[in-house]
Amino acid sequence: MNRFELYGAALLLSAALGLAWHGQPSAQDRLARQAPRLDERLASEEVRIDPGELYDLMGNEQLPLALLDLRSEADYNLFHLRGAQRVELAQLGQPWVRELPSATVIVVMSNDEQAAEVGFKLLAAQGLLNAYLLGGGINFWLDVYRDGQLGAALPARGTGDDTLRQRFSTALGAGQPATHPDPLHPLKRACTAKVKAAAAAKRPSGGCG
Amino acid sequence: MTMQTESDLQPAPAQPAVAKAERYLNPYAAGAWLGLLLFLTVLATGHGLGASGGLARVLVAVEDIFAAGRVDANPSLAEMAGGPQNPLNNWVVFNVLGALLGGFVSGLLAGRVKLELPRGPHTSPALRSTMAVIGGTLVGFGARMARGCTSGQALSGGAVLAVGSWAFMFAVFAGGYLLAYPVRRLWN
Amino acid sequence: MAPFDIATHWGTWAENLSYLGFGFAFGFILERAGFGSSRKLVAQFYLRDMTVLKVMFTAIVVALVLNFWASGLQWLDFSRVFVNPTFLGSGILGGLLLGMGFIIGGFCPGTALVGAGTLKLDGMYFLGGVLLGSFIFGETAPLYWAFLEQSGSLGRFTLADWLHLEPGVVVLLVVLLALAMFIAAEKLEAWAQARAAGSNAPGVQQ
Repeated sequence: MNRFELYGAALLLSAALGLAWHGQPSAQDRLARQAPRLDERLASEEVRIDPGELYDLMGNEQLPLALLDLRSEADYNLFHLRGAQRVELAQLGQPWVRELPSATVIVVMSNDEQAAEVGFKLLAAQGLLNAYLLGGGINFWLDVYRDGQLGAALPARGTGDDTLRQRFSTALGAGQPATHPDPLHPLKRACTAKVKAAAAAKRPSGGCG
Repeated sequence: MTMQTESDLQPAPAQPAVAKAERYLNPYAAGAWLGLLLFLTVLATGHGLGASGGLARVLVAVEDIFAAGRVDANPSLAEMAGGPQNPLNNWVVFNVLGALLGGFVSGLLAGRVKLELPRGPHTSPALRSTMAVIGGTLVGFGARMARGCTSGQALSGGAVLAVGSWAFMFAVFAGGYLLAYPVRRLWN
Repeated sequence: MAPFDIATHWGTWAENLSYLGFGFAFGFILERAGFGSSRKLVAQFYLRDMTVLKVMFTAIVVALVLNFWASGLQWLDFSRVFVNPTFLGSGILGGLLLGMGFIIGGFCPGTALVGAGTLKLDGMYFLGGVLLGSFIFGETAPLYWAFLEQSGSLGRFTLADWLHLEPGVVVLLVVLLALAMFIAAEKLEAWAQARAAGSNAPGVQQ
């Protein structure tokens, strides 16, 4: 080997050693770097979906849907949507989220929206393009589907303090009424659909009608 | 060893000097340039290079003219040209065109553009031509099966650590070395 | 932050034109390296001329170091970079077939373009073969579609994911592997060429 080849090899090796030492950005690093852009997306409301749309997505069997519930264990045990898995906010920064197939629609939720907004940013910062958050949170979902306020308007961003407003006599988790769409009697609600991963498969009527 | 010369490959009478047409770039340097190019394409578009895909698309574009129905009904073809999709409106087709041009210009500058049929010392033109077509057929088939070739899978996929691409690359070398001894008379 | 996604921001034709340029550079570099010559390419498999290995692995490790440094500095968002989905069944079988076709025909698709571009008839015939092979595949693929789509299908899966190591560490290991292969390649070339020179008489079997 000649001199240039030797220098090249040395340069390459040093660069690789430096790379192994420097490492890749963590989820927090990515969040910090991308925060302005993500805050813009949140402010534009393009990722905040109406409970009516979530109702529709839940009824669509062809669409792989991941429901991530960011609330406390107590709240989760009192009531949660059928199929929702409870995750800690910190866990959203972990590598396992990348196991979610890229075609999956992910909806994060909290009682109102505060935790969900952070959760959305963590997911989006890692490049998950199909992440959304439930507008109005569980509180508003319960207003609409448990208390029958089908025509109620989506509350403004920033309403509430992320505590569960509703009172339940027993903790039935997903055994409560209103945890999932009823395929026989779907409820209709006017809303704008925002999710782009549209699976054009047969959907039950209801949702954003 | 800075220069690779054609004369190293055959038992030929000694040549007075390295002819201009046989001065190649140092392989490591060429590799470095290629790696830089791969990086630039990733920065620009998020993906690397390709070759077999472009050829497949040219073929399916022709098929789409004569048998659009069959193309639409075949999932391996519909993904490129199904319905109103224009299979030629894709970066990899232009990568192929560019490569043809780039190869030509480099060859022109080096005096290597020459209508000829390179072959082993014991191989007739007819045999070489036939083997080129047969080999090409295997390569074309294998590339479609593997969803890429040395450019799209080995180089581009390898440069992002894709497991399937690395597996593919080792399989390519294995396939070549496996048949090297049986077909040695073609080349040596 | 890169990738700058030319297609999304400036349309597919902007991307197409860019690739005309990238492709030009690609073909140019390959021809500079001598890859328009089938005999030079095939010499790799007879250990006389390890240019193919040197060019390919140098390209891969240089690109790896650049890609992951850019990602490490957050100049490149790796989650938006295309990682070829892993299909072990069709990938390995396809690779074996391609390797066999390579030594029989003397080219791979990219290098055949360079061969044809420099008016090498074997390159042109080879490209004809590639189109034929692609055609045969298209016609028969529905018969083994399940194999193609499902055998060893692991999706977006990197060596770092597989080995549960940081990407930077994997890149370092790959660089070390490449350097070791280059050293071995130089030795093999010297050995094979000395051997060829030793029995340097017309008609001698190699």
